[in-house]
Amino acid sequence: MAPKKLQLRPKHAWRVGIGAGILGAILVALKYALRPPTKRRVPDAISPPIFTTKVRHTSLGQVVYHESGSGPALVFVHNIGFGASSYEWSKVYPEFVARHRVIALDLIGFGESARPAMRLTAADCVRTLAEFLRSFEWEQPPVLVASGWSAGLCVYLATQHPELVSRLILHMPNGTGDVGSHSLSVFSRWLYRTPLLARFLYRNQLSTKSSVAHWLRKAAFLERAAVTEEMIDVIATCAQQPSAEHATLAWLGGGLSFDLEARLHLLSRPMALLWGEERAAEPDDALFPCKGWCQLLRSP
Amino acid sequence: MIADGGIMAALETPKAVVAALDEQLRPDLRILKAS
Repeated sequence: MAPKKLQLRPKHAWRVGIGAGILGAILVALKYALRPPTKRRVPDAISPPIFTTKVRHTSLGQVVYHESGSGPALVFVHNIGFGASSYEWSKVYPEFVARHRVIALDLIGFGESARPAMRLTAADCVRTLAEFLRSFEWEQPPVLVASGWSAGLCVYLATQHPELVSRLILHMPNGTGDVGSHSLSVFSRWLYRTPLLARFLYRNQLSTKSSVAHWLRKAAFLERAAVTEEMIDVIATCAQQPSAEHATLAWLGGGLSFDLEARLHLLSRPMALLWGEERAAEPDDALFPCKGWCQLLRSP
Repeated sequence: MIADGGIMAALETPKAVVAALDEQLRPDLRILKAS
């Protein structure tokens, strides 16, 4: 039997034409309705005044970092999210300059570092972090201090490049960027992978000052009164920098996720875990797969 | 363990985070080995 030819009848053709026209109009509207990125530079409050701001080059562009002090090296790596940068650690790392060489960097795609217009992966982040660390001369490899997804990333780094790490101190590590009830639905993940629509949502909604303030008070902090105007200003300004959407949308779309459990089995460097008492008594297995390891947390 | 703070504890409760890091950076820290 000869195969039936697919034919568009004239009475259906106009519907297809109208549908395509509406879709085209929506895409054009989204493109021209995109809020332009801010021209404001990132506020000086991103780092304490005693720290010097410097740059190192990696295969995906420049990494901006802040440095002060001398002694055994401590490298602070920020978590990822809206307007993420080294500012996250800026109230903590100045306390260590008396005894340590302290370095706090903005990861590629975030803060003042290069923000390439590409869909970043966890492997890209590990590679550029390794290139950054390799560009220094260390008396001994640094201790990495990191939080959230970046804490998981440092585990990934330490398994691929153990020579670049002496120890890990990790605050609530995970391999997905999700934390407890703040995990995203499959629909949201799909939405953040839709190129133009996701950019529209990011520029016109997610990165606005009011959205950042809401996110900090509702999801990032336990005590909403602890959120200050300075925090909102620095984080929102970072979120609105040109091309800041690419890395954040890669994270929201699940493109930065990786198998942390597999990496943990390969880890040869010592690791300390810090976990908030307001969370679980021990790390949630769904977020941080550490069966057996948790016994150590309860050890004196 | 950190006493308080959400996922941005370093901004929310910096003193608690500094104390926790200080403890981890003590030169006499005993490192436990997982088996």
